[in-house]
Amino acid sequence: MDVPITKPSLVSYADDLDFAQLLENLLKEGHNGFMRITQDAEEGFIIFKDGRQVAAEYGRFSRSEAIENITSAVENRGTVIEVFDLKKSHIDYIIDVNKPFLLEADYDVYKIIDELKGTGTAEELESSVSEPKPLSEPEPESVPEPEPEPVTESEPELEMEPEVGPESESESEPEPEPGTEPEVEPELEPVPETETEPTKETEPVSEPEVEAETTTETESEPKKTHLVADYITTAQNSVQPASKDQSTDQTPISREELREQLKTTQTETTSEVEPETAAQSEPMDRSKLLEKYGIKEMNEDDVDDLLDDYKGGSLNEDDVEKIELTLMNKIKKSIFGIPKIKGTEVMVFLDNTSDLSGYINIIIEYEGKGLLSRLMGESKDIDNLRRQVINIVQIEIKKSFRKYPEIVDKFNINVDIT
Amino acid sequence: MTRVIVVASGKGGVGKTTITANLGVALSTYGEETLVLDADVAMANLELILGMEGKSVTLHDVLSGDASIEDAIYEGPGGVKVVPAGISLEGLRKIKLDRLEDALETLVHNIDVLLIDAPAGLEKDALASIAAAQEMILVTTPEVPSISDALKTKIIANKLGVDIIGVVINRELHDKTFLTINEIETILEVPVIAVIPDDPEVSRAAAFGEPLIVKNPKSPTSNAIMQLGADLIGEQYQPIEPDKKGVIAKLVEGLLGRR
Repeated sequence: MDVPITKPSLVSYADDLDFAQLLENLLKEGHNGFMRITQDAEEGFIIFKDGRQVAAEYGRFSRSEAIENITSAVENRGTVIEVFDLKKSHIDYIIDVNKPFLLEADYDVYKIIDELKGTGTAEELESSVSEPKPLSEPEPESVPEPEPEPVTESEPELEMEPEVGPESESESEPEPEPGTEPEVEPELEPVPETETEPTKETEPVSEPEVEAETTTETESEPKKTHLVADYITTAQNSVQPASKDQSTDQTPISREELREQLKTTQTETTSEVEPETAAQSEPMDRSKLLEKYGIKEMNEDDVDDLLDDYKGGSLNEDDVEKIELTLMNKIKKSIFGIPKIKGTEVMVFLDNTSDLSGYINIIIEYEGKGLLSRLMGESKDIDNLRRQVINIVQIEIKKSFRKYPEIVDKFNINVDIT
Repeated sequence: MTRVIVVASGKGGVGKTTITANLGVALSTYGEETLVLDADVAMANLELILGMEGKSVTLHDVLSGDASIEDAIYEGPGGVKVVPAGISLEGLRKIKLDRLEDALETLVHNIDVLLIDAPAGLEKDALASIAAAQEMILVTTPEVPSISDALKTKIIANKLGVDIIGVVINRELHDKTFLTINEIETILEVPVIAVIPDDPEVSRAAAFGEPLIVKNPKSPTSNAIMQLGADLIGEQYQPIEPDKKGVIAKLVEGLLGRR
């Protein structure tokens, strides 16, 4: 899901707040924004428009299935819930870019609250929330529901007090309940700093998760409490949505799915990967991409220099053919320089499997003497000639692989003299 | 015939060793006789991720000529065989990299897949690892420096005649400041074969000295690596989903006073 992760207006562990009540409050307030739910490696989002859930994603799941999974996730005490505010003018755009996650048309937003609370408050809510109003001013608060236990300093947990929406405007004075902090002077505790805008740092997104962990591990951190007034105030001064979206879909995809997505211009699958836009699926100009990101192609010379340091290794098949041809010509030319050589055939076969090696077969037509001479001892001349030819071949190999002369040991040389 | 696959990246710290270790365990669970070799003789980390540090005979000893490669093979999690590099500075001084290929030739008997965890960079030890393999898996993060180094590694591999299977994008975050999958494929001219999300479970597993796919098989990273392993050998894999409770079950628990 593409949502702009900015500074949340509310951060809390699921165990420290009543999730049903939170949904109810957001509904009453006509909240515009989204909620992020993080449980271990799983992450989910719910987008709210005018207080109503309009889109949802959780891990691999989307829409109503995601809502189901989220309600399960909030049972876990380690689950972190963050609420982010957006301007009403932006919410339609966010909804538009997250179409694959839109809740079904017949989805009943009150149903989930009802199920969570186990009460029949759906109708009451429905009647009370006829025209949800945007959060505009700090409003007096009342706390109709029992509040969660206050957090001590030894447990750095986040707590939010229940809040009410526009209907409380009729109340002239707040009615604080025992145990709550004074609402006249709300304390705006700094939220653990999360990413406000994605930057070009190497790992910007890891901060929220790291921050969440830090709050659990650092015992000396003061407790962070968000009062209703704080929530409304921060909503009113909501941070500008980041210009760059950020989604944290974390589920894997297979190679085939990736290829299919790259081929399609628009996808509405429930796949975890962000769908490519039509522009992105078009063939890209590689040189422009390299220029855009300042990536330099490596020169052939650089590669050769690098390989010079390396003694051994296989080569490109095109290079192998060239080497075979070159060696063949060089050896042939050198052999022809030997007296009484009438003809010669040279065959070079290179093996490029793991390291360059080869087999060289040479057939030489030698101008011999008469039969008697042959019987007497021409064989000695042939042995000498064979040794001479082998020496010539080895010299040519060493000259060709000037920087790697040891390669000559990896060549098998066979000389046939006729 | 043994497949010798080197996992390389160019840039350090992108997750080569984590992916190699877990991929080795994954392939082993599919029934492949798999051996993972840590070729990063200078900065050996594979044994730490697999919880196998402190072995008496390591690749250091083999490359120093003090031991045979068979003595440096240990059984790791999930039945994967491991040749640790060794983390002794003393051992580092005596090694000769040209013994690596001989060692590998011995290893390939009775092994289906040999995974080589290559060192970062393009120094002699990295080149030796790449040249020793037939195939390569490139690992990168979706950031420009990683992609740039991966490109250099890919060019070297081409020059050395190593067949590149594909690129694994690690620590994917879907951030618009990072390169997209399409862009990475275009720049590297290599298909993306797996996308692994940024996952805090990876660090936790490493801290415990357990491969992630053993410690947390339901994590997105585990599922991605298992899928990669399946793709490599043509197997089917069904991702393990996290536990799911229905709303009714939750309601019942609520009524029973769990909250």
